Amino acid sequence: MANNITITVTAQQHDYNSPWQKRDITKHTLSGCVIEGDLVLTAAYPLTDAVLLEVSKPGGTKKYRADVVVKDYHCGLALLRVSDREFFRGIAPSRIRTASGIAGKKGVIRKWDSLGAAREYTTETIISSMRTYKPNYAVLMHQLSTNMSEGGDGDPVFIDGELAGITTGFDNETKMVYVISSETVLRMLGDIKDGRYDGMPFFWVDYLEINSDVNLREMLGLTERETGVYVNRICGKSSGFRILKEGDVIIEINGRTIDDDGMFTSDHYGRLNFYGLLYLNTSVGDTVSMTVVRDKKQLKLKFNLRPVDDESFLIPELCYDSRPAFAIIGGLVFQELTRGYLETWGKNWSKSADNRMLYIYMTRNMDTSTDKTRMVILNRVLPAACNYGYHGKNNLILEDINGHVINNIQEIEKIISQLKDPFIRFNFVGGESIVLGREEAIKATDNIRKTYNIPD
Amino acid sequence: MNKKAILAILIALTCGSIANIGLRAGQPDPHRSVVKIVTTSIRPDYSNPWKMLAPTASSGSGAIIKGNLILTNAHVVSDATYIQVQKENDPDQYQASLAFISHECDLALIRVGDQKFFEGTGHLEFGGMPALRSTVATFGYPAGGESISITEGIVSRIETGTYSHSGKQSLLMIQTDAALNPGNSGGPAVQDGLIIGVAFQVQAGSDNIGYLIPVPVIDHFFRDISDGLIDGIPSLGIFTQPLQSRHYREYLGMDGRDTGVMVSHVVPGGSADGYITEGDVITAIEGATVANDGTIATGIGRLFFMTAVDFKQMGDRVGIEIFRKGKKEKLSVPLRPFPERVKWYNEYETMPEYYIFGGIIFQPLSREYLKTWEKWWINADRAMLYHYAHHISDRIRPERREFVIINRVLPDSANTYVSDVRDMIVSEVNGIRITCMKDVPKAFMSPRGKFHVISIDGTNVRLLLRVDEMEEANLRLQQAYDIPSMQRIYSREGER
Repeated sequence: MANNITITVTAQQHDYNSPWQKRDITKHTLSGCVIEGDLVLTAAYPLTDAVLLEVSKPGGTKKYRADVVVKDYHCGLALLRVSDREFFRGIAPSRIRTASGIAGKKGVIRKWDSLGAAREYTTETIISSMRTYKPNYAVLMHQLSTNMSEGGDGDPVFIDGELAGITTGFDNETKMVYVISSETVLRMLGDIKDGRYDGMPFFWVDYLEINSDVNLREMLGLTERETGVYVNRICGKSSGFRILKEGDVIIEINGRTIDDDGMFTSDHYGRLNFYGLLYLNTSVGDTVSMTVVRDKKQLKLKFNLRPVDDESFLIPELCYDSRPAFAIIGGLVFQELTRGYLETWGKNWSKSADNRMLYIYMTRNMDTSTDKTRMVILNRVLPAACNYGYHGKNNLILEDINGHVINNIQEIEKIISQLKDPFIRFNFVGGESIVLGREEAIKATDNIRKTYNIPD
Repeated sequence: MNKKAILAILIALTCGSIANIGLRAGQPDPHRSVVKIVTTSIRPDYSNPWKMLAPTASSGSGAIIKGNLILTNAHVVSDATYIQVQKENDPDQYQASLAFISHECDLALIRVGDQKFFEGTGHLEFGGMPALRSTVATFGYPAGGESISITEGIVSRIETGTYSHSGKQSLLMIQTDAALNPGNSGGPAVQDGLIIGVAFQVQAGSDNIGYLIPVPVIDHFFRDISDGLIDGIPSLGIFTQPLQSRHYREYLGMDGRDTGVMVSHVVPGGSADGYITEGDVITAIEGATVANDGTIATGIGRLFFMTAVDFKQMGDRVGIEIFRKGKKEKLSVPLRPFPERVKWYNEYETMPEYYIFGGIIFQPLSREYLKTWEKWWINADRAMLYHYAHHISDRIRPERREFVIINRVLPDSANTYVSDVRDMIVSEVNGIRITCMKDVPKAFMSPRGKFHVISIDGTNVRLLLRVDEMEEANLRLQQAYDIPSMQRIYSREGER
């Protein structure tokens, strides 16, 4: 029996515009593959906001409930388990291809179409590269040309009978598909072996390729043989923060030299971006040796790779699976500025969303904090008597309440509960402000919830 | 016609008061006072600021007024290289020239050199504000034919609205359902033989919504130019917030009967700077009480209180009553020009400032620069859009008198490593903070070491140019790209 299967996902996204409710219930299918340990391997992003996951045996129609073991948006992979052992009976799990040359190799994609027929498509590997998942995790992916006609998520790709990766993005016009490498899968499996998933280690610097810029080379005092990348900014939660410094030129990592275009020569995959030295086959706790040129002298640095909590970003990028935080005071709906909120402007959000918010998102996307600091925003005002005069106000960034700076949603209710003043004054970036009568606003909240059908 | 004569005539015109709508005996047939205006104009290319865009032709209408002057819209004759006028039943076109133009209120006066043009014509005089629902007729030379065209409608609404030619001002306008089409611009709207408005724009995508510039705005224009100079429409230089919420009013200590709007921002260097403070409540202006929604009662309905300032001249004082710290105070605020750090509005009759060094094109951030993007309010560079829209309210870089940007880099062998740079806001050159265009050439005169170093906002990456290559590079660039002058920077008032 084949070991590629179909997964049915029932999902319901949270509504970032009306954060107390969810959006439409949707259903879609994607492919997956059975691997050792009675696990199903598939892509993570198609499983966002999933409420129910069901798997069908190869070519079968009976659905079995599946649960998530790991869903890691950082590497785009997910592992599912199925409690009913019957599901796995008769399926031989895939062997997973270990590191080896792949350029030019032919392979097959196996999937089930919507009518339950087995489909097999051919592939040929064009090139391998490091590609990033937000907020900045680099994953080794292979680019394949294929005669596949639809799909592109979770489809297993087999080369020489072994699982070489799963698909993550398909372009029907160019007939190209991106595949998350089996190396990434092996890293994940190695990680959960001890029963605890540490996740991918995190490294993020904004850098400039030197690219034979003779002026820059001279300015930085680089010799002929020193090639690499110039560190422009370092994310505060990145591995190596405080050890690596802005202005450093990274010329070598773990004994591999980096070229002026930021690439190194890998063992099996040709030239890859230097992020591969930090992300390919690495685990939390690994030590990194880095040689940099700083103040015109070479310096050897050492640091450990560590993970980062997605919650520590000032403007969270990954906004899936949980309800957006919100607080309603006197009809004023407060939320946090996140990518999910910006996406409520629709497909063209990166151009059409609120100007100020887009600028902040663009310039402060590397900002992190230890205490879950967020930009708190006023989404809109639910009109009621207590907030008359402000009914049209929306998309404002909150600075303080009665002079108390607000760092996240939880602080709003905390600060307000401590106030004794008769008024609550909300000050927003740009000079706008709202004043509510404190007692009236608090009393009105229950009524407003009922009127606008907002559950407790 | 000399300036003194114009002055005398205009003073006479402005004596027609706002309330005066009367029939005049022996008034000329409006046909004989309406002309067609054909303009060739040429605009600068803000993307390649040493060049002009291709000339364009357009046509509009105008009204002959006393003194053999023709009143029309600014947008009919702006950036003109050649203006011609033609009257009904006359095959000849006569050359005209610009006398005065105000882009803010979209009005212009043109004169015709050859006085023969005026034989057989008459002039129109001005009326006052027409009543709602009264009939008006518009005269002009719109699309759809060659001879004079008249349409008729009523006054539908009188309100303030944006004058889109400059996009700057929200001024009084008359809305009419008389059909207005391209070419009508500048033509008079007439009631009882008198001009009660100048047709100038329509509401896109609507039916039967056309707009006229009313006599009070025309009157302001005439008073403004009576000294021979255009000073424009003054501004208080404040942002306000309505006080419809009684909680806010109580919070501010206002008693139950007081109404007004709260000042949320005072622009440094503006008219109100030094007189009004943030937190003040404006309760009355020029004696008219300001309601909580910001409107005042006028002879023609409720209008936003800033209308009172719109009808003042630069240098006049405006009487403002404020409520501050529990007390009312009367202020007399002198009106001065708004200190613009970013040219916020459409510009005309000016050439863009720029400075090209080593191939790098430096320009000031302006709306005209942003307009070089298609659908610019969505597609233009994000940082620039943010600076444009919020530099006042968010108090961005108060030390910068303007925001100098890098447009792009003209490729040359001396700048090959920075030639992909585009659309950046400049921070420093050679360690000198750039606060205006003039700082740029000065800074390039003092490099420290072998390289000119340019820092831009938001990144540590610096742009480098070799000092010893620049002299030749600049000459090469000028020749290769056919650039007449490598710079155009204007002096500001009070500067050397």
